[in-house]
Amino acid sequence: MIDRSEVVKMAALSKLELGEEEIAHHQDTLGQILDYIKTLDDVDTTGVQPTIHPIHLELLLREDVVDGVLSREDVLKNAPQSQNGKFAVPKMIGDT
Amino acid sequence: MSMQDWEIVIGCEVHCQLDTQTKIFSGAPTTFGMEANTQVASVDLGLPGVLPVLNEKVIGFAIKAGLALECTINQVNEFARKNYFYPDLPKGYQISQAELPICEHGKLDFFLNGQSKRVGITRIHMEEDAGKSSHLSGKPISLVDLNRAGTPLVEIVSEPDMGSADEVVAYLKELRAIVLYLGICDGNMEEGSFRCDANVSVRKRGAELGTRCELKNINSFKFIKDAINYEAFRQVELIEAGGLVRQETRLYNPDRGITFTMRTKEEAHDYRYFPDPDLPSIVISDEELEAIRKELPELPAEKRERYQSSFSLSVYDSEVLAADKHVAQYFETSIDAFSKTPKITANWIINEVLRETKASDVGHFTITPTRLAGLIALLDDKTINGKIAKTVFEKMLTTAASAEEIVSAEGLRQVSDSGAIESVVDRLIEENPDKVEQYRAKPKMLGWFVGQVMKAMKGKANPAIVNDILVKKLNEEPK
Repeated sequence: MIDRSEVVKMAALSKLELGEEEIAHHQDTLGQILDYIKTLDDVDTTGVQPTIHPIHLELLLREDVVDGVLSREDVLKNAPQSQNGKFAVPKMIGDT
Repeated sequence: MSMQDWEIVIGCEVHCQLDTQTKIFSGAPTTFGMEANTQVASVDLGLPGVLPVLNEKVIGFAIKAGLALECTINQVNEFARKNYFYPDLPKGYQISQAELPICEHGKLDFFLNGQSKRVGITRIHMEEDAGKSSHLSGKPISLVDLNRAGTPLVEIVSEPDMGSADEVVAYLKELRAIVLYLGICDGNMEEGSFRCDANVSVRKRGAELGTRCELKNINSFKFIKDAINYEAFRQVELIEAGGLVRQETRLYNPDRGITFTMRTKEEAHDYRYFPDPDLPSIVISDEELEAIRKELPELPAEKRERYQSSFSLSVYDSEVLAADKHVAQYFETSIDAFSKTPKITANWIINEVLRETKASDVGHFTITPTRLAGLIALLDDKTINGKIAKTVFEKMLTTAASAEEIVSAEGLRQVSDSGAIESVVDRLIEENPDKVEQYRAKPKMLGWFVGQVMKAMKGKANPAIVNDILVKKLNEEPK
């Protein structure tokens, strides 16, 4: 089990509104996941470098050349609302 | 209250937009000032299934910044996701660097009022810029333009080593000069290519660090200075009245000269950084690092030193000339064309050239460095005197003719013929016995005679010879 407050905080960070029942549910299921992962705590990792990427791939680079620009029409195609060629979103508080 | 009892402690975070053609992880262009949402690729939109591919220029640019600031370059470093929700960040995370940035533990030395100052560089990391949002007053919506989303940045984080607004401005000017010398950033503060956030706190002298406020997005050196001074004053006043400084982000209002709390939704900042699984580790080989090291140009500090040691310039002159790479280039080209009197060349650039043109535009100045060298050569071989040189300079502003051509065409050659000068002097002495009397009592009157000779000879007389002849003749016993 994890604290109710932790679930509430994570929900807020993820912009989710959870009801009381859902909070209790996630306390339980997230707790179970964390308990399961805790198994790893039993492994002695002294002297072992942290694994950042489980698969070692070479980083591919691209040349600094213009490519793949979308038309403004396409850019805004999935936007529920746009205005003056810009995405229109619910008002953000702040900045000015 | 007295600011004397208080110390200001400031650290800076500078965001430099890297001067690439395309974005850090997509091929969309980074051109400033284009119509909204026309510089956008699917990666910048964060569409499902897209993958970021790193722009090869970005690593080299970040390493150059690191080497110029004497950092350790982490030859294995990582991109990480910084998670937060905001409409100008479509993916829901910014690709940045967290635990393993590309550069760490550097320093920057600069001069302020003749005093050397060192600021530690905590780290430099690569990241993508966010889009830009605007808010319409009285309407329930905000508008988002993603042209800037994905523009490559390096963030240069300093240690809290600065103790005054003047130190911050000197640090920023030196840093800006360096990124311009390196050619990695255009340094345009108005367009936001070079942006500074300052963390400001105050403490009683010698006490523990106080709580800091972050001043964000200030876009001129003057505003940075004013904002820091206001903010330090505000904090001292607040504490002395028994209040507590709250850690927060503040903005600066230049019209009112005050800082104010940035209104944000109350939320805990918890970015939950983790390595970006889409981007493998960045591995920099010794060979790559050495190749980039070799590409580094001579930097402002090295130029200043060389100007002082090779050309015997003053600290001030070398600072002015080295502060902008275009000016330094102008100076050096001019010296290449005429190398005998670097101090004179420096004076002409600082006093005359930079009065006529902005430092950044000096590369396009109508009097090219070679033309200026021609003028200085004429001064040096005494073809013209200093006063006539200024006249020739003025004329050079409006024609393409060389200094020599102007001097010839206008008959401005200096008269060093002592016979010609003597006859003018003789006549002057004869016509002005009263002034000669005055001179005997007051040797300062010599200036009047010099002026009269110059006037009679249309400013073309060799002033040294005029002086010699005048002194000789005026001190002769009356006949």
